[in-house]
Amino acid sequence: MSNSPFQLTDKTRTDHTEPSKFHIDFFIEEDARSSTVLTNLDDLSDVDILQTGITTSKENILNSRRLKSLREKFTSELIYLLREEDFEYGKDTKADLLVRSKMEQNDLATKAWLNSVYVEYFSNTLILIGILRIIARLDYYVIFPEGQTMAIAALSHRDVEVKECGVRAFESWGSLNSLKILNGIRTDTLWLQEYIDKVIVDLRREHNVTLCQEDYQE
Amino acid sequence: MSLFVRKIIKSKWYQTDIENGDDVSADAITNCMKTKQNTLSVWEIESPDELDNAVLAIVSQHQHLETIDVVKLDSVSLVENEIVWVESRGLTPIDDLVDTHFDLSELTYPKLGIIVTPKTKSIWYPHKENDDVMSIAFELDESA
Repeated sequence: MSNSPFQLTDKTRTDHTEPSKFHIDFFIEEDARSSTVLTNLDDLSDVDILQTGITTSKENILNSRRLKSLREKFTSELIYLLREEDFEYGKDTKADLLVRSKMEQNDLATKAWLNSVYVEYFSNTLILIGILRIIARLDYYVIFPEGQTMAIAALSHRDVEVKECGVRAFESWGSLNSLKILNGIRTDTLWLQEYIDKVIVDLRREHNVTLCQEDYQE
Repeated sequence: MSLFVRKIIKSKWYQTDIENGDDVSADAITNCMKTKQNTLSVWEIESPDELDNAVLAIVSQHQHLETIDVVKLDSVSLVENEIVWVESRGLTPIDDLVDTHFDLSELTYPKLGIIVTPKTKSIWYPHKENDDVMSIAFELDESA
């Protein structure tokens, strides 16, 4: 704590229960120069930040702090697990448990973190498949919208397995929106197209969607 | 003639064009045919009509209800290729299916090769286990 911006401005304070106007002003100024604040975020506890009473910056700082922590401390662990773990459909992996534990701590930052790893490793199919399998197991609204964005990106990936994982994600979420998205997907890979068609039929039945004229014409 | 059912990841098998004679990919073998103590876990059914039972036994061990793919192995073909199996209590909460689990045993590199290679004809067809789980079955031709 001793190096936090909060404490550096008032070394006479011994408790953090009632932040002074001076502290809050300092924090606002520092937050405006966010780069300065963010470089010191690891030195701030959540209590320090919360006690400033600055709602907007408090939330941004908490999320930024969490995202920074995830990137620096857990990206390598996630990548290692995705590369080394055996995967079976239906069964949890350590990577699932890691992501779920981080989602419980801060889902906003965790979704942003997963999204950033996904973008960074977009040419690495092993990592993409791993992330897609994990997000497919999370509730539609919990992972929304980053999860859906990642799955949509997967549908246009050149790798068939990545594409399949995108389809699986939408199948798993099972929403009406999944049906709308999958309806427009076409692939030259026969087995995958058959799978997509089957998922579409299932989703139509689940949501009681009847075939429209355009479907008959296809 | 009984059949043995095992869970696989279908996309790994379609990394190559096995239906037109391509070699099976290494991913398919290492991901889907991972042995323990030189055995391979399988669930027995008496006919294709009972596939639901095997799929149920498999998914009953899962934490997530997800689409799975399974391969059906013809016991006659296994016997012809000197592949043996032993009874092994199945890990499933469904009592009626516990005794339908077996281990293909004494497996070696060539024997594993026999199991994973469809020698004559391969047939893929979709199968609905229930509303939520779909399995795809791969059946070795009897003359394989």
